[in-house]
Amino acid sequence: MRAKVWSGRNTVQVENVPDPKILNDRDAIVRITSTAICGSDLHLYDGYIPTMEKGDILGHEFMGEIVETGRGVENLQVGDRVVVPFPIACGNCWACRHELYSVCENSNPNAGIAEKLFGHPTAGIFGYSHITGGYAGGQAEYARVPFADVGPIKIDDDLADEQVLFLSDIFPTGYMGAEFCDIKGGESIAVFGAGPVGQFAIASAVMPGAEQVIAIDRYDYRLQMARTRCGATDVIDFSKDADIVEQLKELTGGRGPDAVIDAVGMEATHGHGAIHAAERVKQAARMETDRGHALRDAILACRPAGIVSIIGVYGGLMDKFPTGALMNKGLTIRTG
Amino acid sequence: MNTRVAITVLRERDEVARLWTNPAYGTAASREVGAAVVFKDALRRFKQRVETGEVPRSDGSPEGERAERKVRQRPAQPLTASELAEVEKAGVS
Repeated sequence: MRAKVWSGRNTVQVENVPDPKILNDRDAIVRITSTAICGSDLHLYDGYIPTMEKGDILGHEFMGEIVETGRGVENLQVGDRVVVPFPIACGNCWACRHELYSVCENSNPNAGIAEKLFGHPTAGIFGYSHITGGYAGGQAEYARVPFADVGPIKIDDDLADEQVLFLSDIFPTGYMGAEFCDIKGGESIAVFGAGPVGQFAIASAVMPGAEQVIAIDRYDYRLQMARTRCGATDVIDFSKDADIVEQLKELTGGRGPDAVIDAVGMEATHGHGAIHAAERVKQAARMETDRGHALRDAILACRPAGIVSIIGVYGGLMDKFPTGALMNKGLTIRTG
Repeated sequence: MNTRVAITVLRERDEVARLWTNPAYGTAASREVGAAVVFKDALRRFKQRVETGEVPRSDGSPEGERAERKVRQRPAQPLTASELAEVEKAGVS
């Protein structure tokens, strides 16, 4: 089959690779009909996520048609249309029984590697380095889906791929980011990053009744979309004014947002060129893996006793994490 | 060197003890010798067999979790027929 593989930092290419085969009884093989590039794929492309190997097939947002099932898969039939969630979950462990699928205790065959870096292993993920299992991804013609009796979402009606594909990652990720904020109605929510996940986070904050939703980005077309399509009430273009914290205070009567969602992650851009350059050099020299502008500003801007919701991807270690602000303001951090 | 490892299996204590002595689940693990990392891998496979009925295999670690694979991963792309035959011949987990 043809598949897109990672060939080293800043290099991907389409290559011929072997077709996937059933390896475990609870596997299924999916013929992929649609797949997406996630913003977090850029972290792999740019070489900032550890444990990549040349030849790794990328892609963790995909859907398609079941073409083969293992003996242990009874709820799916050949021909079924499915959306495949990006975390691989066994459905049997303590974490899965508590619906904490992204920290499944059994699906990562490189759990020992993850344990060294994170303290505990996390779930296997398609096409996302070897620390998350070394599973081939879905930017290919076919993919093997382990524990196919648990994760895949069966699409029974005639919804087009474009209407359901985002269930594989970015919509539930954005929704979860808003859910972390405990929105009951009337809150002020700031969303750092108005890319696809940020857009879904904005829409998901509007749905339960947030009164003010502030989108933060440096691209005007994204900020326009946040306003016109997703319901943002205010926008901040930090390419025009880099002091995001003060602008958020101005928009919230000096108090700061009740909750802040970081939908940016480890390759954040700072509005001040010199500050950005300094952090960029540290990251390129591997003195840190994560550029933390967005998260630092999120912590500084959030009102005392507010919530910081982190759904942007971070890979390892960050310099100058504002522990003083985090502790003294009594903030709650939720991540995933 | 740390020689203590632990893992939690989602079963009652009596059942874990019973399964530990069952050759299908525990005997292989209890025979493992060597570094803590090797024994931890064996404990993980025991937990995986008990909880899920199988040892998950990926393209990078097609035998399931193994200490030697931690430093020598194969690419995350499907195995060729000959690679797969070799892995199956060597034994999975």
